[in-house]
Amino acid sequence: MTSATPVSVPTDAPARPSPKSPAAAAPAPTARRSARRRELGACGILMTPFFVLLTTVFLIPAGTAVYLSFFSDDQPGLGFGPERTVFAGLRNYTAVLADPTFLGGLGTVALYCLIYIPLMVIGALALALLLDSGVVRLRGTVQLALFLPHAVPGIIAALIWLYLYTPGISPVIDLLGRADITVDFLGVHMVLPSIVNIALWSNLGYNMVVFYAALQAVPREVIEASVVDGAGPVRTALQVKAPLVRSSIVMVAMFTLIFALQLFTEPMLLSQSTPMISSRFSPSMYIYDAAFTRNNYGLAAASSVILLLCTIALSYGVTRWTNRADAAEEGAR
Amino acid sequence: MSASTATRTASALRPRLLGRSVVNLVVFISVLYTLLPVLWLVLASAKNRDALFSSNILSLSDFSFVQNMKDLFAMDGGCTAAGTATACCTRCSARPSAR
Repeated sequence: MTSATPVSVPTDAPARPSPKSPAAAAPAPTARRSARRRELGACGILMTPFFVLLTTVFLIPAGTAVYLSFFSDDQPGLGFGPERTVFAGLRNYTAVLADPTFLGGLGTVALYCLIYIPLMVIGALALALLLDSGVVRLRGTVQLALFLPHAVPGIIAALIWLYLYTPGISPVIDLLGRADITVDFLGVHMVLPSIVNIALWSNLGYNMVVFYAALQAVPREVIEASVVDGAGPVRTALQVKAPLVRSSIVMVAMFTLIFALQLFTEPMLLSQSTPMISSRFSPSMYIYDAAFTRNNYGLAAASSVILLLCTIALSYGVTRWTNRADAAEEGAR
Repeated sequence: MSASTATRTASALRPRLLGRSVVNLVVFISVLYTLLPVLWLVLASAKNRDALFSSNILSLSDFSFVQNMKDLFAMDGGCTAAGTATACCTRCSARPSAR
């Protein structure tokens, strides 16, 4: 490290900039202690809101769920006695993990993630790169139009697409029918792609904006250098710009993964008009069904804890994997 | 030197013109993908129930947006707008299955 100041700093002076002059700081250890205390107090005051919020909106609910998952309601006397809560140990967990509908829901969500996340990341990145290429007309209007679905609430989005999937009302099916294509969007094979389409429609513009903002921060010199080196626009986009926004790709993939694991709104609404979506289609719907249809809070809490653990494990895995890939890339350089 | 640069620029320009229109076409299609469902929602809100099922979506012959709004705010004894909107959503979503 080189010092920019021409004057050499005396070694006994405080290293960090201090508002106090050295002469005033030297004689008073009590003043220093009170300053230290004031600093601690400021830290405490500034950090209190964070910890209060963390405790009330995360730790207490999550702790309650973990606590509830170890208990179950029991009715002694062949179900005629008064209901009481008994400690069940891990019985709720074994019940959830042995339930084929819960495992089926996990499988459905895994398949959903496999289709949805690559489509979302590649689609949003491609659109952002196209907009960043500078050849798109009316860029501001296009960005607004692409972002508009994100302003539509999730339930309304699912509702619009439910109508667009319903034969008789849907102009989409009408148009496809004129071209002699019959698609049953709510049939057994198309129901998952239909849900992917709803989620994609809602969130594509938002993630496109995230990527576009990251692309704005790519230094112009790098792009100029690549053009001078003879890279075409496609090569510049794929091999220069895309690697430089790698961290936001990871972030978008992570957020998309976390939201995808909580799949609930779209199948819940579509389930009212197709028999292909059962009431335990995804883990979140399983939890809802366990808590509010079967009134089995212990089972619901246990499946919530399992879903939470899956989410934490997957996010941790993604972070570790990308960190390691980053380190390998740094090492290769 | 300058001749080779000129040919290179010329050869680079030809696909660029094509590429430019392809880029604009792709972006235009994705704009249609995001905008048309919203447009459908706006148009559908101006139709009564029979027209929604039978007529062309773009025709404004049975313009009943005001009537729909009146029905919306009169639903369930005219409770709060948010409540009626939610009730309306659940009813609408149940309707396609009823057909």
